[in-house]
Amino acid sequence: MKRITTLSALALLVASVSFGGACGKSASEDTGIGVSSIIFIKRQHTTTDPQGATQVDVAGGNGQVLDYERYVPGGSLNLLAPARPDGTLHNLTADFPQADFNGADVSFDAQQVVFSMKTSGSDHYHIYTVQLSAGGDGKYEVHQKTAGDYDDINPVYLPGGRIVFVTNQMYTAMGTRADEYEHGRVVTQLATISVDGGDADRHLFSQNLSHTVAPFLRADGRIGYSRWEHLGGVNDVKIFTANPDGTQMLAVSGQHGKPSNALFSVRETGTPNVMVGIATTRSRTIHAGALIQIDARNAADPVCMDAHADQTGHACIDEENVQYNILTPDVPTGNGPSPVGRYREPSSLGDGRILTSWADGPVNDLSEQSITPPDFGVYVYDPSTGKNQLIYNDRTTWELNALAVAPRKEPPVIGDLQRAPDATQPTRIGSIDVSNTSLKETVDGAQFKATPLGDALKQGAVAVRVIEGFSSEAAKGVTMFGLTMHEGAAILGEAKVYNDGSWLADIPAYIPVHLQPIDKFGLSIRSQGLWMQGMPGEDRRCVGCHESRTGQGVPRFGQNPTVAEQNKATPFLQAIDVRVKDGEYGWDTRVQPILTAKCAQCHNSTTTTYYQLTRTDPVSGVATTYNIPYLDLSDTPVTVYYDRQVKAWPASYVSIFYPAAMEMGMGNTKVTGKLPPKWGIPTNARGSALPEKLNIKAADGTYAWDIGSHAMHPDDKGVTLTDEERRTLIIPIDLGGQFYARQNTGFVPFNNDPVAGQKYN
Amino acid sequence: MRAINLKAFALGIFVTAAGLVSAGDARSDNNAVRGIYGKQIPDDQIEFVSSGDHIKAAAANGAPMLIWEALEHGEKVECLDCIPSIEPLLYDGNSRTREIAAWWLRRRMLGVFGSGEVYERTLGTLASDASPLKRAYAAYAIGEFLATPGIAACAKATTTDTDPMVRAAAATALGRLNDDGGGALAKAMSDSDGRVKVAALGSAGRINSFTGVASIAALTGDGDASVRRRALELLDAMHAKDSVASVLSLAKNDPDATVRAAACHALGAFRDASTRVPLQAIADTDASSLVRDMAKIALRSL
Repeated sequence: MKRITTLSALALLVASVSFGGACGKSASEDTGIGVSSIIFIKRQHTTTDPQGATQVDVAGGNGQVLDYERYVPGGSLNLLAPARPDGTLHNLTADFPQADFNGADVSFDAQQVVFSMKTSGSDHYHIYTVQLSAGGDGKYEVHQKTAGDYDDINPVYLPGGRIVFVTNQMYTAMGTRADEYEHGRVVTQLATISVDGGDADRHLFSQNLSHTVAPFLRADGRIGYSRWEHLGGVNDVKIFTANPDGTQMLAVSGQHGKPSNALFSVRETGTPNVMVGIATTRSRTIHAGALIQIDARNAADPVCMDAHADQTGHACIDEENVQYNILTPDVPTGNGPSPVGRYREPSSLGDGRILTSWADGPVNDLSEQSITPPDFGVYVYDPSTGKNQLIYNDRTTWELNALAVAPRKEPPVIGDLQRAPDATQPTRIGSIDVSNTSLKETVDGAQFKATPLGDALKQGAVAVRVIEGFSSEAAKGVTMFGLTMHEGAAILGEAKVYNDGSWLADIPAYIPVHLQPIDKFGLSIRSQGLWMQGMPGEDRRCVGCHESRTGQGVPRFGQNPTVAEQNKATPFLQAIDVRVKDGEYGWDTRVQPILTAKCAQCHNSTTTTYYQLTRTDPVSGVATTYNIPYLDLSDTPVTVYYDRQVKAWPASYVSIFYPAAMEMGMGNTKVTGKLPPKWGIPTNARGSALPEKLNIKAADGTYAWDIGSHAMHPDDKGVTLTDEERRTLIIPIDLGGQFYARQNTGFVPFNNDPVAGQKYN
Repeated sequence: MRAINLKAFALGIFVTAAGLVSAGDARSDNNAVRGIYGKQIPDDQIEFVSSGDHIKAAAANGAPMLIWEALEHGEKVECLDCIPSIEPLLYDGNSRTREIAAWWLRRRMLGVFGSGEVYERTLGTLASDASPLKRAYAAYAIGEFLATPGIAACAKATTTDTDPMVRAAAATALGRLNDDGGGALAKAMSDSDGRVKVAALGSAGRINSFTGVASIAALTGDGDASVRRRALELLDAMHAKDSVASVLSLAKNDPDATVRAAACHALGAFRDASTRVPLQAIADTDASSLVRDMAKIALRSL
């Protein structure tokens, strides 16, 4: 493939347009859009079986949150030249009449297209390339680049002859990552291959708990992508970036507020860090929504605001202050009905206009049930007029993933920076000064009272707790981890914070973790609300605990290296069976035995009072009352309602976590009787009543709560808790209040991890 | 001392809104519904929440799309007396109707998983119904219910049911349940019926603990090309280097191009230098360009 590195796409996009007169599908007479041709995918949605029964499939299955498994035969990859309604359509994949497609991209020299294709119902989606010039036989040369027992979709060219895409291939000891939300579908992760070598050069990226989709290329040569974030109450889709070797995954936008739940199908415009994409909700919208411009530039740095300046060495992403501009204000950003249709998969034409797919009417996954599926066609949307200009529409198919066929500048090649060839090499994480934070939060509980986060970290952080996350793939038969929205959790370790605020730890590569700086009492000061992960050999050290992304970070005492570096990183590299045994706090396996031995003799069903939660079925009107113990720390089963489940849990677990769980929404409920305090608030032991009742003594002899008013309990009643037992009762609260872990659900590690090079036995 | 605002707490849980939708799923979107477009939208385009009567009426009507719509909109509708109307849909002729019926039932908090209720009845249907079709549909439903008691039931059906359709459905359900059924999947790979083998291969590729490589390798000689291809894909994923001879033979000689391509890809994963020469020959001469592509990729992997 020939690479063009100097031509600017802008130069080739001649703005010579007058626009259609009305928003709608009526085509204008003048349809030039300034490019000679475009490619797009036709996807089928309707099939009729031999018996004449018609079936419409727009979402790939009931409740399929992200459309990647849908297969309807009869799709094609097409070249339209010239790019206007009377242009000639060339089917580039005519040899695959039963195929369906999921993603495509045009090479930098505009001579080749990479695409994802599933050739038949028994096949998987895999990556192919096709030359855009027909051969002597009139056919377009197709080459297969990936294969195997998994799906590869959403391919995008990278500089240096590489391709990034997403895959549902199983790897790491967790095997199939399956987010428990809704139908527990298998999640997708990023991977790369080379254009020439295909799977021979396949590299798998570190993992998130939920889907990663829709990668795009940034002007700086890095990969952008949409990532479904699912951590406790956080449940949205944000934009991230990563180096082509999978290192340095960082947030770009969406972490600090955004006008929609999800940002999908993003592509950068001609201006670095200015993107156009879809604002929608991730659920039941088949990725369709409003067009949005996302400006993540660092406005405080003039160099970052100059698209033509050399931005090397400048912190040009300001993910805390991203500017959003909804370009189609009449289109909802939720999953409600739209008066003006919905958009998918936009790309900038370089002159302010946007090449995109658009369908009129209500667009969601229920459309398939009316035999009137949405009709996506290819249009050019002009934000200045708010009008769509028809380019191509076949009313029997969807036309998606439209891209201009024009040479474009190839961004700089970023080589393998840190990734080690040995997959067992750890990822290094840490901070220069953990108290360096840009977050405007305060900390309450124990020694802190409305203390600014930075001060609390400076005064109190003695270690950073590293917590591995996992989802329903780890817990057979479990779709919720208890009376909590948090996923499974295992402590990898607690790395010491030195007197300069620095800390370092080596953790297993690939797996998602989140962090909690903790004080001398073992209480979390803040729980990170974002998963992070790293590649083998990667160094992921930050300046602080969410430091300013556009500021400077220096060691607290001005020294270099930090004290943590001088003392070397703390290794948290236990094998998974050790992590399961020692790092997890299954309620029945680790917590209840202590409660039974030390607490239940006083706090049981004969000593507790009860409060009542009465829930009325909104349809039948039938009321059910649940008796909930004020504080029963025995393992007596108690049945409660939570998140649409009525289930029996040990009385201890219900007693401690139900008061906080009730705030998550119970529908039509009424509570009577004496309410307990929130004994356990997931990820907030510091604010929970149980640790306060127990009180905690640090190694220096000080107490978390004033010993004068908070006697150590149950020691004050003649029962002694060891420090380890006290810690075992409190840590599960900071971990998220889970009942289940891998430890108590029969988890078996994936025994064929390709990145670890393991064999089947 | 930490202050507990009991008044606010009590207010927070005295929820009196009497909407049709339970707010039990606390993972709903931050801005799940934005904007009111009601006056601009025809009534039939505004999304609605199914009532219990609507769910029952849709089930009685039997039109697939009406059922899908009613149940999709009825995820959070508590309707005990709808359950008898939906349970028969587990045995509907339309696969998506069966799937969404199982999904809707799985999301019930009452009336499904208790003693003598839907789940137990479904297990009973799989174990003893006279109709093979009903047993097969029961197996699929048990997989979709995602409950662990289904593992033993599906394992037994995978290996002992007299009908291959049922055995295949039960093998598929084991994959959904992320369990090999105590060796049931490996046994299913020696089943006399190709559908059962393909189902077992598909499930074996999606569970954490499968180790029956010998069972998979034996299928490289199967008479069904789709079985051979799926077996090769699994050997590839498992890096089963000791099956290199049989895989190479298929790469060179199999009449089906998709099988030859899968074999070449597996040889690349095995990285056995002894396959270099034959792979080069395939890369140069195979009749299929896609097989030649896979042979070149394999050569690059060696």
